[in-house]
Amino acid sequence: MSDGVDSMESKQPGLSSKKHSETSPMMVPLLAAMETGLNQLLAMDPETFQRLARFKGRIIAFDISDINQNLYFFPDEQRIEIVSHYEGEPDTIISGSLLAFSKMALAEEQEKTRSVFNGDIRISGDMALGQNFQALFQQLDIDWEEHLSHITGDVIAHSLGNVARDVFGFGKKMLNSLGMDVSEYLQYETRDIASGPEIQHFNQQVDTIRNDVDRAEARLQRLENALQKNG
Amino acid sequence: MENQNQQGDTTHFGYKTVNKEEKVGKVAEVFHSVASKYDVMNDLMSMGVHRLWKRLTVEKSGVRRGQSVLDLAGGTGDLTAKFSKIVGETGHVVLGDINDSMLKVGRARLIDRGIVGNVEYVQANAECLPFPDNTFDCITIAFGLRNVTDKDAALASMFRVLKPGGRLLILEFSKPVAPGLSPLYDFYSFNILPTMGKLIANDSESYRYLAESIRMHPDQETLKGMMETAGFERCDYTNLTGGIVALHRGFKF
Repeated sequence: MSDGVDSMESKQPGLSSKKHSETSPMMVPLLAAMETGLNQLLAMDPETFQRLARFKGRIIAFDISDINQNLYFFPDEQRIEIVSHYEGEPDTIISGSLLAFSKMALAEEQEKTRSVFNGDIRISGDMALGQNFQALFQQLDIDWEEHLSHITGDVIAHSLGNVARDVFGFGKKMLNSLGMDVSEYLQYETRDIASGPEIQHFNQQVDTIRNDVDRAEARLQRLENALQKNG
Repeated sequence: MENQNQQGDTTHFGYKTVNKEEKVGKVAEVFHSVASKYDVMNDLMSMGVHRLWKRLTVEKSGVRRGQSVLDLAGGTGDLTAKFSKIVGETGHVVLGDINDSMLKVGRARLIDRGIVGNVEYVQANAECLPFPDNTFDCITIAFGLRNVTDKDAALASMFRVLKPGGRLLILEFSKPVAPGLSPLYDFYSFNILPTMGKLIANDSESYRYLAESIRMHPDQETLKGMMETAGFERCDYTNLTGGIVALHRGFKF
């Protein structure tokens, strides 16, 4: 977070050097596909466009630091235009590695917030704008069954929806229980790794020792000062 | 080489040689005839790739929020739509076309898409643009220069209305440079293209003109030279799709 605040003071915060180089023609089909895909995804949630209207006229830059690529988003109430080369000042810059962005896109709610707070994703410039724009994607609520029904009709869509929900539900449950089984086996049967309470106990002990050492150090310092004064 | 035909009072209309005045009328006829189906034909003729060529034009334009842009021969407004979003409410875009049918189709299309407020429509001849000196930060002319009778006059006129520091982008058919592409491209333009024109717009003559006019248009280096003669500096070009199309760029300083 501190990075974001620091760079707010400078006029040109944290954009990578890609900014001034030219767009390669090879990049163009990728951009077009990304723009079309993103707009189709957004169009699936009817409320998106109301939310998008708030961002009209603002420019949001994404700085994908590890591949040295900037993307500039120009949203209005209808769609988002994407450009990879813009010579002006964006209103906000959201920067991070490709991995951090994909994590943010795919992760659960809590993880997303965490990625901003632990510094994987940095927002500079207009912080509120950056955060609101991020939130736009978190609020996406797509009714897949509804969209499928346009193609297949309601009954089939609903049955397919049920099947999908069952499959995902089963998969999730299986993964959860598999995870639990493995961790219990390692913690209690083979004792290869420590269990939660054991780790907590160990951490507390480390904290206590650290505090003791700090106190001892402070005491030594005080004695040394006293000695120097007397000497 | 191609410019030889432009000496005196005659110029070329496709492969035919016609009077200069006659060319203006004939080009107008072609575009009145194709205006309503121009979009569909563009997509078909280029197999959708013209959208990518236009996107690269926007990427290379360097247009920023608050600037003014002239989209000449803007036809159905593809570039104007993008520029309108980039310059925002504080900027403005002028869609200029010599042909009122094309301009009407373009205006209707942009209004239908909700693109209003910072866009103006001007029926203008590129050879004598009706704007004061130093007006625009960027001028684009996509697939239009080829149809202009006096290209040197058009380049000089664009140079005049461009602000110092501004840039001109010319997207136009050019000379294929990729090995082996030429014969394929010839076959496509002279056989398949007019047939498609016949089927879709019921007008094979107009599309035959398009194919012929492409061949008569100056190649990459010639056009670059013409831009330099008109006063543009730091001129360069990018070949797209093997040189079937080239994007020329020049700055006014």
